[in-house]
Amino acid sequence: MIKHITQVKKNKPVRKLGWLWLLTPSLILMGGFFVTPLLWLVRVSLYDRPGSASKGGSRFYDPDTLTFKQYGEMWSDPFYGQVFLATVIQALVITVVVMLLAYPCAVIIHRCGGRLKSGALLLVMLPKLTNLLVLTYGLLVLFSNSGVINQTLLNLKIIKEPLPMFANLFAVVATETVIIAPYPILILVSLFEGLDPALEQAARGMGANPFRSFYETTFKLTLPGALTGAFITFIWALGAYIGPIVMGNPDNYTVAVQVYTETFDNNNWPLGAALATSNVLLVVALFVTLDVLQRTIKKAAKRREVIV
Amino acid sequence: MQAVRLEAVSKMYGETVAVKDLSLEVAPGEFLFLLGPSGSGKTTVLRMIGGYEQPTTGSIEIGGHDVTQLPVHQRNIGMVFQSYALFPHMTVAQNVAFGLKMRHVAKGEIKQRVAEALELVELDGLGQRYPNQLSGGQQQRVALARAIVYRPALLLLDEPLANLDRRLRDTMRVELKQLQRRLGLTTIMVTHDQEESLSMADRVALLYQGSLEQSGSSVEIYNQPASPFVAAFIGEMNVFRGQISQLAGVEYVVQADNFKFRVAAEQTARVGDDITVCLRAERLVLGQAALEGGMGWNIFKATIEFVSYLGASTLYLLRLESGAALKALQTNLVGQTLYSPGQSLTVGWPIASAICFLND
Repeated sequence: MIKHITQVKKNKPVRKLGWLWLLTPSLILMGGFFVTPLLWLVRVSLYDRPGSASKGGSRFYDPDTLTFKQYGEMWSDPFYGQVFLATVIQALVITVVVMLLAYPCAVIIHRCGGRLKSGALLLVMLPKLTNLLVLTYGLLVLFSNSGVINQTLLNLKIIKEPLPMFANLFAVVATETVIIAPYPILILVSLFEGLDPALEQAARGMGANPFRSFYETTFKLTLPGALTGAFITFIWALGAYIGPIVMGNPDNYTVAVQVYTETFDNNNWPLGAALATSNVLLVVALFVTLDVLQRTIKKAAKRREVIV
Repeated sequence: MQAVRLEAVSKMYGETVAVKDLSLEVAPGEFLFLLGPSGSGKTTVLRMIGGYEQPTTGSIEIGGHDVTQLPVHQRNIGMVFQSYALFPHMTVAQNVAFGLKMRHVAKGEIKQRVAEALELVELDGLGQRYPNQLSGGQQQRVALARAIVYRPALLLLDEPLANLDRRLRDTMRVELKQLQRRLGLTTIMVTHDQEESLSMADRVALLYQGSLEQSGSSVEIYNQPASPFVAAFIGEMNVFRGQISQLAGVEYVVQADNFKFRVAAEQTARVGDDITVCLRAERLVLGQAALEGGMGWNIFKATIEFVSYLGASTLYLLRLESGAALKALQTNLVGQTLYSPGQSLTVGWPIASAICFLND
């Protein structure tokens, strides 16, 4: 008996090490291409800006410094606060629009049978097979004042002035929706596929009209998943860059755009890095909040079961 | 007035015919079984009655009203699905209350009727549980309570016992039948289990390839099958195809592939007609008893090829000297000799016990 136990103890570490070896490729990938750059980003945000008390050194930041000055500047200058606020508000708008579009879209795709469904899914994924920049400039060609839509409508004399579909919030939200929407749609379709189709049929059998049946079963059951989809959309929208910069005006500029401006236009790497780090922290904070929320809901559900 | 009436109902899926020109009536309070192999269209028929599928042609009446164009939620049916389809996000009580809520029944009454329904299926006290906290049998009862609580005009059951283990299924058969009797609820149940339908049904409608093969009581279906298909679908059956080679008074001699035997004569047949002869495995008599049969019997020498002991009975595969194979089912009585493979014996059956169908 004792012999047996020692044998097990001897074997165990060997096994664990074996598993670790399998992780190596992904560890190298994540460490080299994700963790290291992120740490470098944080370090850059803690340098002083170039030129200040500089003894030569970099054009972009002052080496041999370690300071929270950039974060202080972010806090004290209301301009940056406004950029953050505008980014969050714009992300919320994008999230609402994406979800209002994605949910019905997913329902329709789910209801399509066989070949039609594969076709619909391909249509959803098609923009993702196009280069992001090409896609965005494609939308520019569609939406701008001299773009396809406006020119057609003008030529048909339906409108006298071009519709304001460019360099405004509409253009940014539309672009980001096209970019982001496929993800929540795919998440939702897979959620629908996981539901027993008999659930809705059972509700109808018991006297609920088709709309009520859908609401009471499919909608209520997919709501938690839909919220997760909305959350992913929101985080995505928080990092929006290409939509605002190509399709927006300065009012639509997000933190990501500001990072670019500080880093490449103003050659102020530390401030750009500080903005980027803050945006990452914001996303992390949101993730933690969601996790806590979900745990609380689960705990509440468990408590309900215990009372029963 | 019939509780349900199907008139010349057909259902096509593109080019495929699922149900072909089906007419069927169900009396009030009757327990009708739709029985058939998979692909026979039985579930499609049930779903058309419930309103989940639209018939391509024909009409459906429930309680004297034409409901062919009526959507599911206006038909006042109770439906139990094979998967039960219980709402996982609702408690048992909420599941059962759903139909009442949709009918805008007052809150106090809902509570009372839910309690009654749960008592009826012996689930009192489990109302606050969630479906995933219940066993398969309990879930099945919830599905049933949920379907009968608002007193529907018609109860539709789609293989409701298929997901239960055998012992539980046997218990539920009896309970379901008793409940149906007590409530006097017109019920249509779909099954592919012949034993289930024979034991529970007031009437069995046997479907094959989308058509109604036969409708009748369990005894009628078993003893007077209307077609070789019905005969072979229910029970252990020996089926021989052959030709009438000789008329001998009240008997024919049938020449099957590799042996000759006699069957009781039907007036319409002539020498040379093709005939299908069905002989139930339990009608075969083995051993000494077969020799005592006398004139009206077919008697052959045979060898036991395979023995399958089933507890209450034993199924033997026999090989006649001519090479023909036969199945014989013997009830295991006290002191019954069991034969073993390789043993030679006599096998016989009364010529009147075979069911004959003349082929077109």
